[in-house]
Order: sequence, then C-alpha cells, then structure tokens
Amino acid sequence: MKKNQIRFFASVQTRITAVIAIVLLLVLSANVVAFRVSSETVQQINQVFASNAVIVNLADTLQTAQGSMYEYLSTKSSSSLENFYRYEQELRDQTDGLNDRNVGNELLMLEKNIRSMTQSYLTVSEDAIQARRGRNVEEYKASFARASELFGYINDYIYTLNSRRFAQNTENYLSLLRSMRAVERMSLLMILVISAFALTICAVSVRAMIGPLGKLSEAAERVAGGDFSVDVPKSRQADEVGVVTNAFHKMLGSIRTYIESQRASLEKEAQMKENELSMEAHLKEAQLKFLQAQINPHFLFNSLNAGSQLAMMEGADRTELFLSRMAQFFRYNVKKTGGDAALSEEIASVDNYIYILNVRFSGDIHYEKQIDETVDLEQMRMPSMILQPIVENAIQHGIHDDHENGIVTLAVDPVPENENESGTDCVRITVSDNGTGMTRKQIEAIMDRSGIEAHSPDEEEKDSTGIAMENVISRLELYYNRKNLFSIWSDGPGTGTEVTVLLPKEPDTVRKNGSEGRSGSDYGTGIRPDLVRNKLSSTEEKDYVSDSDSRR
Amino acid sequence: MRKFVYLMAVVLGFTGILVIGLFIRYRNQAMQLDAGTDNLKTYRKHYLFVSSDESQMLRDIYEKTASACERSGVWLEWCGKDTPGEYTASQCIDLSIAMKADGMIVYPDGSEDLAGAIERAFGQGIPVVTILRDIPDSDRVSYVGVSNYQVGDLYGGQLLSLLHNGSNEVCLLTDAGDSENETQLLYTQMVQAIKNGAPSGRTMELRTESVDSRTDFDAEEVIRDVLLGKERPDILICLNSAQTECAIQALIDYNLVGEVQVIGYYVTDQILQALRQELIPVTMTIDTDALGEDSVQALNEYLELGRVSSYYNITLSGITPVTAARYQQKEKEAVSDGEEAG
Repeated sequence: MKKNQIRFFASVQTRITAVIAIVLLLVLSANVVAFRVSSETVQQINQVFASNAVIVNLADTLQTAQGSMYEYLSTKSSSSLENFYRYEQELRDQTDGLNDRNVGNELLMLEKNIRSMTQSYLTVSEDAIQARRGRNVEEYKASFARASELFGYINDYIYTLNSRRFAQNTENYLSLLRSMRAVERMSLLMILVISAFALTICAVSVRAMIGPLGKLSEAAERVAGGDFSVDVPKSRQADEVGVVTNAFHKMLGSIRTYIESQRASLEKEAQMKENELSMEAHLKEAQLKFLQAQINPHFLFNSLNAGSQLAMMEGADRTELFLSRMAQFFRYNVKKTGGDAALSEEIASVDNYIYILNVRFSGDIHYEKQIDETVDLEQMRMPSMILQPIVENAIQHGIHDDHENGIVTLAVDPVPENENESGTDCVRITVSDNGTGMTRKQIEAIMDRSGIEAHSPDEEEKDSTGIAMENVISRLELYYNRKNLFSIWSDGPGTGTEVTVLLPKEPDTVRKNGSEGRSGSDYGTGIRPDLVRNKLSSTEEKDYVSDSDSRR
Repeated sequence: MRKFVYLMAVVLGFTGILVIGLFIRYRNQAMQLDAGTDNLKTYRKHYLFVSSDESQMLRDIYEKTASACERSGVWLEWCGKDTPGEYTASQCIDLSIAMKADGMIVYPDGSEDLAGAIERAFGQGIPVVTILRDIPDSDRVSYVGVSNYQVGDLYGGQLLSLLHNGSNEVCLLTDAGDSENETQLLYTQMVQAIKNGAPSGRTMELRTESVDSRTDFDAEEVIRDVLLGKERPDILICLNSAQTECAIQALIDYNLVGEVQVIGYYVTDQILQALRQELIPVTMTIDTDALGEDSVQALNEYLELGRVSSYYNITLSGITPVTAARYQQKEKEAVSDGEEAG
C-alpha cells in the first residue's frame, strides 16, 4: 500500500497547481516589470526640469544674499547680517551640489564656473562685510563693487546655464515621452507574448500529464472489444496517471499470461488426443499387418491345439511338444496384443519362438539366456510383444546367413539409477547377436523411425521389420512416457548387433500418464481405458472366448 | 500536434527574448538621459580664451586652439561667449580669475586696465598668454603672434607691386584695439619699405583711418566714408577680416573694383571668393594652427616649468588670386584630415 502511494510532488494535482502558479508568476512578473519601468519613466519625466528648479533656487538665494549684504552695508543691521550669513550658507550648500571637475561637458563646466565664481563672490562679500564692520569705507565700497560685478557675472552664467539646461531638459522631456510611449508599447507586447508563452507552457504541461490518459482509454476500449494485442507501454510518470497506466499494463500482462496458459492447456489436451489417435493407429496398423500376414489365426491356433492333442494320443511326444509350444506362442500373441505383460511372459514367448525356429531349422539357432536372478521377472511389467520382434530381427537379419555359427543372446540385468540416463532404477534387456552387424546409417534410420531399409533391402521384409521396430519403440515410449529406452549398438558390418531395452522399475512412471487401477491392456497409451477397451473388445473378447486363437 | 506546440513555444520564446531586449534597450535609452558625469572625459586643466572680437578669424583661432588643448588634455572655454552680458577683455580676465581658471589666452581689445587685469590674474597664479596683439609692459607670460616689423615689410612689398606711376593714395585701416605703438611701428616699416623699394616716378601718400571693431557697424561706415570720400585711396590696407569683408562688399556695391586695390587680411569664404574673382589682388593670412598650438604650449610650459619664452613668432603670408586655388585645396585636405582624425 505504501509502495503505491504517489509522492506529493509527482501527483497530478500538485503539478497542475505548479504549472498554474508558474503561469501566473510569469504574467505577474511581466506586469510588475512593465509597471515598474513605466513608473520609473514617469518619475524621470517629473525630474526632468528639477535641475532648472535648482538653478532658479540658486539665483534666488544669490539675489537674497546680495540684498542682505547691501542692506547690511547700508544699515549695518544685525538682522541683515544674520540673513546674509544664512543665505551665504545656503549658497554654499547649493553650490556644493554643482560640478567641480574639469569634464568634457559644457553645461557641467558652466556649473563649475558658477560654483567657483560663487565662492569668489562669497569671499569678496565677506571682505565687504568685514570692512563695513571695521568702518573701512573705501575698502567695503570697493569690495561691494567687486562683489556686485561678480554678482552680475554669476547671474549671467546662471541665466546661461538655466537657458541651456532648459533647452536640454526640453529635449530630454520629448525624448523621454517618446521612450515612454515605446516602453508602453513594448510592455503591452511583452505582456501579450509572455501570456501566450505561459499559455503554451500550460497547454504542453497539461497535455504531458493528461495525454497518456487518452492512450489508456483507447487501449481500454480495444481490450474491452477483445483485442488483447494492444500495447500499453509502462509509464515513467510517478503520478496518478502513471500508476493507472502501469496497473493497466500489469493487468493486461496477467490476462495475456492466463490466456497463454489456457491455450497451452488446450494444446496439451490436443496433443494427448493426438497421442491417443497415434497409438490407436499404431495398433491398428500392426494388427492390420498381422491380419494380412496370417489367414485366420484363430483357426490356426485351434488347429494347433487339435494337432497337439492328436499327437499326444498317438504317442508322438516331440510333435505334441512342438505343437503345444506353437499354440502357446500364438496364444500369447493373441492374448497380449495391445496390452502389457510380465517380463517372464515376454521371455517365455521368446523361448517358444526360438523353439519353433529350431524345429524349423533343425536346431541351428543358437540361443542363450543370461538372466540376473535379482530381477523379479514376474513383477516386472512391460508392454507385450517387445522382445519377440527384436529377437526375430536378430535371427532374420543378424545371423540369417550363418545359423551354424550365429548366436543370439538375451540378457536381463538390473541397472541402478545412477548408471543410466533415465535417473531411475531400470531393468536392462539386451538382445545381441554376432551376425552381420549394422552400419551407422542403418541404426540411425531405425532410431529415426524411418525404417530399416539398409538392414533389410527386401521390400516385403523392410515393411514388416520397419513397422515392427517402429512399433516397439513407439509403444515403449508411450508406455513409459519417456524417450531413450531403446538403443542399438553395432561396430559395423560383421561385428554383430546389440539391442538394448531399458525398463524403468518405477510403477508410478507408468501411472503418471494414466490413472491408477487401469487394466494392463491400456497402460502407456494415454487413451482412456474405457475407450481402449471398447476399441479392442471385439478382438480380445474373441480371443478369450476361443482361447485357442493365435495371432501375430 | 506536438511539433506544432514545440514550434510555437520556440517562436514565442524567441519573440519574448526579442521583446524583452527591445524593452531593456528603450529603458536604457531613457535612463541614459539622466546619466551622470562618470562616463565623461575629464581634463587636467581649464583654460579660458578671452576675446571680445568674435570675427571669423578669432573663431578659427579659437577652434585651432581648442584642438590643441584637446590634444594636451585641457578644456578650453571662450570666456563670456553665449552669455547675455558683453564683456571686455579686461572684464573677462576678472571673470576668469573668479572662475579660478588655470590659464588664459587673451586677444587684447584695447580695453582699459587690461594690463592691470593681467597683473591681477598673474597675482592669482593664473598665467596669461596674449595672441596677435602684444602688451609688452604687462605680466603676460608670453606673446604668440606676428612681428610688426615683418608685417610692415610684407605689406610694403605688396604695396610696391600695386603702385602705379605717379602719386598713390594709400589708406591703412587701423583697429581701435591695436596699440598705438604697434600701429606706429607698422606704419614706419611700410613707409620704409616703399622708400627703399619704390621705382622712380611712383610715390605714395599713406594715411590711417581708425575703425573701432568693438562697435557694431563701425567698420562698414568708416570704409564707405573712405571709399566715397573726396580723397578716395588707390590702395586700401585692411588689418582684420571684418574690415576686408566690408571693403570687398563696398567695392562691389559702389562699383569700385579696379579703381581701389584692397590688401586684405585673413581668409574667409568671402575673401577667398573675391580673390578668385580677382576683386582684390592679395590678402595676408596667419597660420592659425601654429598660433593655437603655440599659445597652448606656452601656457602648458609655464605651468609645468614656471618659465616660458616670451615670444612665439607666427608667420604671415600673402595669398594672391594665383595661389588662392592651391590654398583652398590645402584647406580642404586639412579639414578632411581633421574629420578623419576626429
């Protein structure tokens, strides 16, 4: 909750308030500046003629001082003397404000002249006053004349300065008026431009703040319309809009993930259905091949039983044994097709098959079994009809051309989990021969399930063998729901072949793909048991009914 | 849209800067009217130019002197000019004393007590340099001008070239401001020059007429009387530019061109035109540049060293209609050089 809190300075409210404050401040500053400058200009205009006033005051004071001096010299009254000194001081104060430097300006030099002359005048006046007080008539008269002369000069210069100041001030006044009008126009223009600038800032800022909302609403509309492909990028804004945008972005991501998982689930289900159909197709294909190859196996199986009984009655024990083993072999085939069986049953089926071939080939087939006693053959379940096709291949393709020296070995031994790739305890079944061997290409062809053309160039054989091996591998993978359970090893032509089948011991491995309690006939197919039973029921029910049919 | 907004912001920003710039410019323009003395050039001295004569020649001399002052960091002011009162040179000197000037360049006008005023100024530590007219018995520290011996010789030489056979009436217009001694010296030198150089059969009778150039219209009246009087001179000698201009105008007005030869003084536009039209045969002129330069130098030297040469000689030369064009060209070049330097 704390994490989602919007910082004070990042909130839309604060930012809008700040933008408005900046805009107001800008416009206010422009107004203040314009007002201040106008005010200063007006003040300047008011001050333009102040210098004339100073000069006129100076002339008045000078006149008064001269009058006071004349009065004192005439009457010798103390009041006039007092006035003279007062005005003398005033004169000094006023002339102190005048220029006293040599500068390149005629008016300022006039000021300097007036200042100097006034000082001279005051000195001479003082002389006259002192002479009058000392009753030195000649001297005070001469000093008064001299002072009067200077008074005249000063007045002339004051008049000149005043006139020229007035002319200059009038010019300044007109110039100031022009400047003031220009400043007024510039102020107005400045206020307008700054206002427009401020409005633009306002518009840009508000757009930057609110703009993403428009995009968000557009995206929301599209999502509402079912379009989840809409792209709402994450916002870097830390305000409310940014929070909403990021939340929407997250929500959209979650929806997409959910949809994806649903799609994967559906795809998985479809894959399972495909597996089911594939298994069914394999079975049907094998059955079809078998049925094509055998004419009425039930009839043959029943006939073999009948022949066995006949031989027993006639005392032909070997014939009876042969027919009996044949009948067992075919019974097993018919009974276990499409289901699973104990490893012992598979090995027994191989034994029967070898026995039959040895009868056919007068005992030429050399067959050895190396069964590890630690392996519980009865409890070890596996798909049926796995070992017999492998052994059949070893005989037909491995030692076919050299039965006398050829030998087929069936070995069963346990493989601990740490010694195999599957990571579980397994039973390894190895069918090896010392026959013609296989090329790498042939092995790869089988393992890639593209047939065993190289191993069996004969078209008819290629079909049956290829289908058999592919069938074996597929059923193993489907049964255990694993790969790499089947492997072929050969050093090349003439070096024999070794086929290895790994049977995982974990019963759960099998059950993971189906459900516990299923019958052995549907383990590993991924098909619902009831469906399998229904599909195979016609065949199986016939087998069980007759119990003497034989199929391969 | 976003581009438009940015463009608008840029344009408005630029306009704002422009407007603010103009605003500041106008504001500064207004403020400059009230500028103080801080940015003004300062001068180390303050000299006063004292002359009651405001003729073209004195105005030119003032200009040249002011230029020389400017070059040496001195502010030169024409005392009493542009004021309502009219002051004599003596009054101006008193005025300058009251102003506590650093030095004075005085063109004596023959006013009373001029030597006394110079003495008062000198007593206040203010040196005075006289120009063109000397007051030798005063406390002036130096005189910058022409020697009347030279002037007499020069005028005599010009007279010789103008004398016709027989008796020649020559009238010398003197100025009330000229000292009697100086006038007498000039007169004597001229007579001596004629005596020494005049060919046989050519004689000269020289008389003087005094013109008070301080009084308005006096020059024109005196010259009219001289030219229209019973004893009309064959040659009229003027000693300042105002007399010369009046004489030229009188020659034209009374149709006396060719009958009366006028030896002028100084060069003004009118005098130069008269020369080029050959209304007058010759005019004498002084080197105003040298006059201005030397007078300022004399004051500076005195103020710095406490002593200075008492006499700076300025050359006087004659301009005839033949040399008038060359003189005019030189003046134009000098004016244009001065403007470029300015």
